[in-house]
Amino acid sequence: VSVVVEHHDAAVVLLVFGEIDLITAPHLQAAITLALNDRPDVLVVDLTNVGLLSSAGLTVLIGAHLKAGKHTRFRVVAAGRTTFRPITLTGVDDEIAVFGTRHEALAAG
Amino acid sequence: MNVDRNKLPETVADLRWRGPAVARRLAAVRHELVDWASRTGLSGGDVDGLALAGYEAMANVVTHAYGDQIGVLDVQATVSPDLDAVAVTVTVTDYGRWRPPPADPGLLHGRGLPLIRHMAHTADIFPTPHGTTVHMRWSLPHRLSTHG
Repeated sequence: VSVVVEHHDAAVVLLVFGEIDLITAPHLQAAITLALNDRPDVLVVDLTNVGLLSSAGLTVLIGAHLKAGKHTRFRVVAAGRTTFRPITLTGVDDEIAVFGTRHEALAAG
Repeated sequence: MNVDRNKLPETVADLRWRGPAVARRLAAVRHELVDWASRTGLSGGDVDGLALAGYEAMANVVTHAYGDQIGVLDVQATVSPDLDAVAVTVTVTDYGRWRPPPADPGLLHGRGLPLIRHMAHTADIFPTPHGTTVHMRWSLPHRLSTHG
């Protein structure tokens, strides 16, 4: 997995590429933790280019949401079946704000 | 069984993998499963689902079956004609003992088995004192023709 960090006004976007499995999930977790340490208003994790989102990845997303707390609005971009299906089928979207595109995630204020 | 299988428009040989139940081996096995499943005629969505469900079943073995030991992981994938459909099955077997899941796994855990059950058309888990088998199945419309 690789993560590209983009800085927008008050938002940080993590553009994730690859597969999020048992081995790579800690890398994503580290990138998210690093981004949250700066306490951005909004943190968007964009999974558009992710081909596998395993339960280890879902755990990272939930953990990030809990860690973001009140300081940072944590958002996920997931549209494809490899990411959106695992998120919705396990109810993770009940906990986390999920958007179809990065534009929508950033425009949500 | 082999005779029936030869009638299929495209014969897909079984996929069998046996190796150590360690996380770093799983990505390669998952990619083999994807290549294999792509040849069976399953839809793209089911191929993705099979890849994820298969991965989760293997990850369960790595995480839960052997404690601190490294044990054996067996993966088998087969296509077989059935009465009114073609069955694509993936079986993941270990020879350890899963730790019992907590009554309330909390927000952070417990999503592997739900993913398996959602992604597979049917999924069964057979725990025994000598190991656990996860059996996942997808159905294809019947491709055998009596006129062919």
